[in-house]
Amino acid sequence: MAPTAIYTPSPSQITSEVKKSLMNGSSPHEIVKGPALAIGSLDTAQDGKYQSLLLRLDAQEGRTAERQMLDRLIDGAISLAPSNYASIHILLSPSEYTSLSPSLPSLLQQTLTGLTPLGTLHLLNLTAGFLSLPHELTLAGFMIIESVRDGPDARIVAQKPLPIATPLPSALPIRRKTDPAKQSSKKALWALSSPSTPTIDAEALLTAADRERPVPTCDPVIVGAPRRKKACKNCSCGLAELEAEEAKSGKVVLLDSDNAVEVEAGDMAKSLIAAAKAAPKATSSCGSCFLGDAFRCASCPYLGAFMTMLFMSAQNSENLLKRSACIQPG
Amino acid sequence: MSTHGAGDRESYQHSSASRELLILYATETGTAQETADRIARECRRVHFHCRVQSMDAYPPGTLISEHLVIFVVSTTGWGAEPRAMSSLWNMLLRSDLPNDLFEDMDFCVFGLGDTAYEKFCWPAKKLSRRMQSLGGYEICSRGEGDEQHRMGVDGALDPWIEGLLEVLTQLYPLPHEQDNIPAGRPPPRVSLSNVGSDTSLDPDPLDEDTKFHTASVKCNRRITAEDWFQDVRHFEFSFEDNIKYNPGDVAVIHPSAAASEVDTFLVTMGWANVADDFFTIEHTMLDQTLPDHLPKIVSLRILFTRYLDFNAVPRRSFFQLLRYFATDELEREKLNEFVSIEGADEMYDYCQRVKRTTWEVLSEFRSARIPREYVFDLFPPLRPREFSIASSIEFHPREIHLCVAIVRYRTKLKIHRKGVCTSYLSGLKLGDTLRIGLRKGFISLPTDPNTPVVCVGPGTGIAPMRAVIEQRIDEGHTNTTLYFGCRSAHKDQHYHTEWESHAEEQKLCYRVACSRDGPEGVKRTYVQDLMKEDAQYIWTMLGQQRGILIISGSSNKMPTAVREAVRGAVERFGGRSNAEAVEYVAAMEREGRLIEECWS
Repeated sequence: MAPTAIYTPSPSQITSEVKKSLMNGSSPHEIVKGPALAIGSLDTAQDGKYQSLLLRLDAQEGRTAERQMLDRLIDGAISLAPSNYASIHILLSPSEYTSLSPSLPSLLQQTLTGLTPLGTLHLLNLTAGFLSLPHELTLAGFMIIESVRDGPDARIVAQKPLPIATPLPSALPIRRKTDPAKQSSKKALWALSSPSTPTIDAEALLTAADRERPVPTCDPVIVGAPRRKKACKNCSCGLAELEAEEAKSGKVVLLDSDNAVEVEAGDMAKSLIAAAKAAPKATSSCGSCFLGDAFRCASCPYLGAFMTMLFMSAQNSENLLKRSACIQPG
Repeated sequence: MSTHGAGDRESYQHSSASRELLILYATETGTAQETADRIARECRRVHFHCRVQSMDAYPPGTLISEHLVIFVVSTTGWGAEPRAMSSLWNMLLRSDLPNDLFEDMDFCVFGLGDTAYEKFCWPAKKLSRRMQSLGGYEICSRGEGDEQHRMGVDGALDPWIEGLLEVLTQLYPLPHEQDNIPAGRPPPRVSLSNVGSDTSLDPDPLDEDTKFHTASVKCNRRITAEDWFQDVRHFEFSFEDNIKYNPGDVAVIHPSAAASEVDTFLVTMGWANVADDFFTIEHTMLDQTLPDHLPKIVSLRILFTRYLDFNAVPRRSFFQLLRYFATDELEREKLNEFVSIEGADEMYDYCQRVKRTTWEVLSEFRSARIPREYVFDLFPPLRPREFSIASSIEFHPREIHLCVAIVRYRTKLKIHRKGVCTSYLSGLKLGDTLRIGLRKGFISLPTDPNTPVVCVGPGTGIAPMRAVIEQRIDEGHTNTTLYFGCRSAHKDQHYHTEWESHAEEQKLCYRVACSRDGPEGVKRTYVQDLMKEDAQYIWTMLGQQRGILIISGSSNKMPTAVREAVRGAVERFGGRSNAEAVEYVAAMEREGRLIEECWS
């Protein structure tokens, strides 16, 4: 698997404030200041370990750390505000860490999202045997900065990296000079690599940020105005209701390629013949009706009709429709 | 990104002599191709010349010698890469490639996708990470175009291009005298010159392409009931060539526009008098793509019958270019409105949402005077379409069968929308000839006679499954199972007489779910429901006997539901836990025992 990018904070981010706190003996990893979150569980609340953690954090930070129970996070009952916490501390009992493993990737993603860049995740009260944790952390996009295997204080501390800068600063890239011997050996490697060579798992290349579910941009709904989107499944902005109403009143036909709409050439011909009949008599106050849909207003009765159809006789309109329907018996 | 050794670093300015780069695109519906053309045009502003190629036309061995590459990658289905990308992508994924393989390459990626899908731009994201892990240097961050944006893909593309040009200027500074070229109306990508009517035409490039074979129509028969809403056809094509193909392989067909439609279109454009005059095409702007298999000498009629698509739904770039040709002020104003940020929703509502075609738009903007030189810039290429082959060559020598649903639907517009290629196919008469190409698919059948095969192919997904079943029967296997799903036993149960006959002869186990035949109010039965009923049988076939599962059809919820049915069988009868059963199904896929041939 490709190593994730490794970043260290640029000198400008280690302010005098931060340097002071480093010298004052606070944890060397709290490079950013901000709220802390302590995640505990039933077991660690019962045996008092969680309370000890809270006391320690409150004293360290000088403010109350936020508290959450693990299962609320796993069940999706709550979600963490993005880029909010400077540190997240997880304290579970050994058996709870074991049963956590199916949900671990999802939990790590949530904590990664909740941390500010350079924020730290502390997995506390570990016992030896959690050897897969560093791998899972790296996969999720974290960088391990401390790992204590044994003893009562066994823990792993991981850091959320800085986002990738875009685009380049004014410095030019540092590049190797092209070595011709190396070049030809690489050419050979590339050309001769055989189709039977096993491939890597492409999805493992993606970082947590890559996998983050995109949030579709939701402009506020304006009734009657043209719209781009269909309503989302769990629409919360009222677009779904509006579409349902429109579907009922028959004004708008939504494109749905899953369920092809049954063809009724009959009633379409009828409406068009009616429009064609009305054409010479219809007076248009705006004069735009005959210019085409691009220029018609929203209440124009000719919407959707093509200009040529309006000037055809009724019979020709019907023929045009029949031709466009073109079912050819095999 | 790979880290370079500290010892032999050297910074150097790139030579300004070779202001050249490669744009590799992977397109499914033509959008990525158009985007690649656009990026190439914009690179002219910083005096860069681009070579623009489709990934499946680019000789992969030369990638190692490229110094500067822009990848333009679409997303298809539920997050898969376009077919044109698969071959190169699988090469890039080989695990024996060193992490400094592309250390001499600068690259960047622009992805096209839709944020309505969870795996938004995943092919582009994976490509960017992979090139980095192989030592490539990403010169600017990945662009991610979103169909859901008000301005569609352009919402991300416009600013990304500006960022790209800035980076290119930094990396490859211009000599002082040359300023950036400002944007404006681009020159046409071709130059056309009339030739005499007695000029002999060169052979048709498609006829010369040995990947294509001449076929003659043997059968074009509707297999859904006459009163059924969907028109599904069974086609049989016969060949003189001794063609060879395997189940899962795909037929490639170039559609032609209907002669009467081409005629009417040419009249609309005011080209009726010159429709059959021949001219030569000279490709002057080499950084812009042209349609495949384009002859050197054509007429407008030939161009619009076989090479350019006037029935395509135009994109934003079409409206931008059309502005230069509209002579009426009202029309020009409207076009300017459409391409503005404020007018983006209106243009979408007018055009893309209702699937209004280029021809229909042009018939409403009648003042537009389009010089014929610009037809390649305004009309997209008429793309070939692909169809899974529904027959086994062993069963039907020198023949290809297809099972195709003719695309026809309604939007707000009063005239029906039609699929370009399926309309062409539906109009084929017995004895008509056409060229058909073959593309390899991804199904490989087991050779061991004890390995069973389970096919799940609802709807037109039945096409490759018919190929598989015919092949299996021809090879003497009797352990093939078919789960077929349709809506009505009597109206769209494709090929049921064949399945029933094979089943009677004990050569096939046939299970069918007719989803709308049940009484009102009762939950509909789908293939996955049958598989759940047959959980023990599924475990026996796929688990105990280590069989293969092939899923084919619409890539909506069906494949996931089928996987879930298998997972359930593994848990119930395979003695696994829930998590283990999930892993079992994933392992099946890795081992090639679960193959998915689905399309969106």
